[in-house]
Amino acid sequence: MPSKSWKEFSKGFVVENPTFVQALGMCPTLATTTSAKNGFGMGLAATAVLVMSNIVISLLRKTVPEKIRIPIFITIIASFVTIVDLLMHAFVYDLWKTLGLFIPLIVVNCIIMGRAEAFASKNNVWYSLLDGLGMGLGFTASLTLLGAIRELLGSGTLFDITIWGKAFNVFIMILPPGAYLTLGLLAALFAFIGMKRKERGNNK
Amino acid sequence: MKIFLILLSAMLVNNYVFMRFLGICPFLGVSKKMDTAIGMGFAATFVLVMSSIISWFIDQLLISLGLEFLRTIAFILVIASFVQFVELFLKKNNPNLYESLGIFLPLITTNCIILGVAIINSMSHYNLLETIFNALGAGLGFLLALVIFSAIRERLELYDLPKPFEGLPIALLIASLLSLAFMGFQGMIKL
Amino acid sequence: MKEIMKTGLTLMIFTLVAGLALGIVYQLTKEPINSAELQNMLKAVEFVLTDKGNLMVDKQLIEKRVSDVVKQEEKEIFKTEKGVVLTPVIKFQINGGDVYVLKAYGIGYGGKVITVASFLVRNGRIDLHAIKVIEYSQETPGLGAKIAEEKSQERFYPIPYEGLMNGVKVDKDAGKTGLDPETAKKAGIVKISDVMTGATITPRAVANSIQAMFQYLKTEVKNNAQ
Repeated sequence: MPSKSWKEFSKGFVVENPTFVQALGMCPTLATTTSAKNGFGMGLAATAVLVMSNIVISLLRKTVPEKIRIPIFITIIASFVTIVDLLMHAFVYDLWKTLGLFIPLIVVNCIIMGRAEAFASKNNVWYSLLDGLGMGLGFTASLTLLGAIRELLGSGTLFDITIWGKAFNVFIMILPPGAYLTLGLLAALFAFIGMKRKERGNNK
Repeated sequence: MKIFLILLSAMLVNNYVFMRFLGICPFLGVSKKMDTAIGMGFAATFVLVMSSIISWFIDQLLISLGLEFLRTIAFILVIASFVQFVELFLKKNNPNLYESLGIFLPLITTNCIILGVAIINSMSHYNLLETIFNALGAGLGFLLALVIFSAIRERLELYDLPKPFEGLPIALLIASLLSLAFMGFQGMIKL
Repeated sequence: MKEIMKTGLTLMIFTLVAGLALGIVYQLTKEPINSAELQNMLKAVEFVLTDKGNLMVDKQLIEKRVSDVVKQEEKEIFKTEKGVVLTPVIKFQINGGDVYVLKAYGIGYGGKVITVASFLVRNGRIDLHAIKVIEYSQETPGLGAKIAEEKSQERFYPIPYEGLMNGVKVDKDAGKTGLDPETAKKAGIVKISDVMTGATITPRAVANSIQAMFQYLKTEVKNNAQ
């Protein structure tokens, strides 16, 4: 019997995967996955914000008046985003340049606000931390997967390492239409797996 | 002339939904019916233009104080309070409009196109007039994308799709084709 | 009324605490950010001053000059219709003449595309030696942002004096997409349509920046000669 801690942590990867199942945080998902590295970086930046904001919001959940919780959540999230932005500017300059606009936009990433509302404001710090970490890493995994597929097909490389290079390039994959296409097909795959699981569950 | 180009570029060539991936959540969420799509598009355009103007003034203030690092937090708070204000105002003074647009307003705060355009305006050092036209172009482009998309999806309801493709996956595949079409505008404008 | 006061106060306290925390982080990261910016500029300057694998100018001298100028506020010093030359202008003496390192921007898709370039000034000739595009973060990923790749940037240099006098253009604008890259450079044409398919605005911004820098240098050198 898996513990509750494990359940809160692991649900973000498949069952409640933020990208493929819940379709949250689509903008950075589509925009920053031109390569596996960019997707991975974006995912980690969002994870950092998600974990920190989940912790703080969970800590404050009893002191924040119900009526103004949304503006307060936004303030907290925006602060952490700015902190991550400043730290990335200082220490991972190149990645900061590439992700550009999409770092400040983590503020309006629905995953973060969504978890704050649905989970952190109702659960204790430990579970909120695990929830944030799990959702964040699930998000990171999806972005990396998406980036890897697009990079491999589009440029023939993976994490900047040449796999087959110029030999086979579907140029469209790294352009905007490729982002929608890859995500659409992966979402269909996830739906298919979900259906099969249900069928098996019903047969038992 | 430059202003006109900014407008066209934001609307078509550089369409914020298809080319820059901003405002995807409402784009996928409220595009099942044409009426709601139009309502959302107009509400977003209005908020975009107004909040861009306010953000522009805030940005000037922050720059003159040397506090640029507070930009993100200042912008999002301004947008959130502005949306709240519009909601209250409509509720009191124009219940009819509130009926039709009101439900979209809370969704707009977390629509990244609003914050995204405000930040792009600031990063590109646009002046007030350019800011207004960029925001207007972004809004109209968003409206256009929503209308085209919802029209297709309404028809799609009538077809028998393979089960796993229903809902989000097919929507994304359509978006992919539309985005391909919008790429045809590339290179049309020489700024 | 009391209710509103209390709500407002709570909100204000939260914003104040957040602002304070951000201020502290800002102060702490200020130094590292400046040094990251410096390293980035230094890398670009060293890159454009490299000739066949060797630096044309002493490394220490470059570091000193760059760290001196990077602290100064950026100013626009020269404008053409499409490109703007920025400070700093760094000038080094080399065998047989001078080498100028300039910075300029053109407008790309989503904003400025900033290029650092080196020009060799010898016997009244001005030749473009190398460029490095340092700011392109607003360009479309996979399209304009391909300017980041070395093989795209290599198409922009070196361009001899005659080519620069012709006016630097990307191949599509010049109407000559059939040339091979090296012949094209001699005529001031940047063959880009094969390495950056579909993207025209971003390379155009770089070409315009180069042109602006060249125009600026022409007047600058003339003034110095008098």
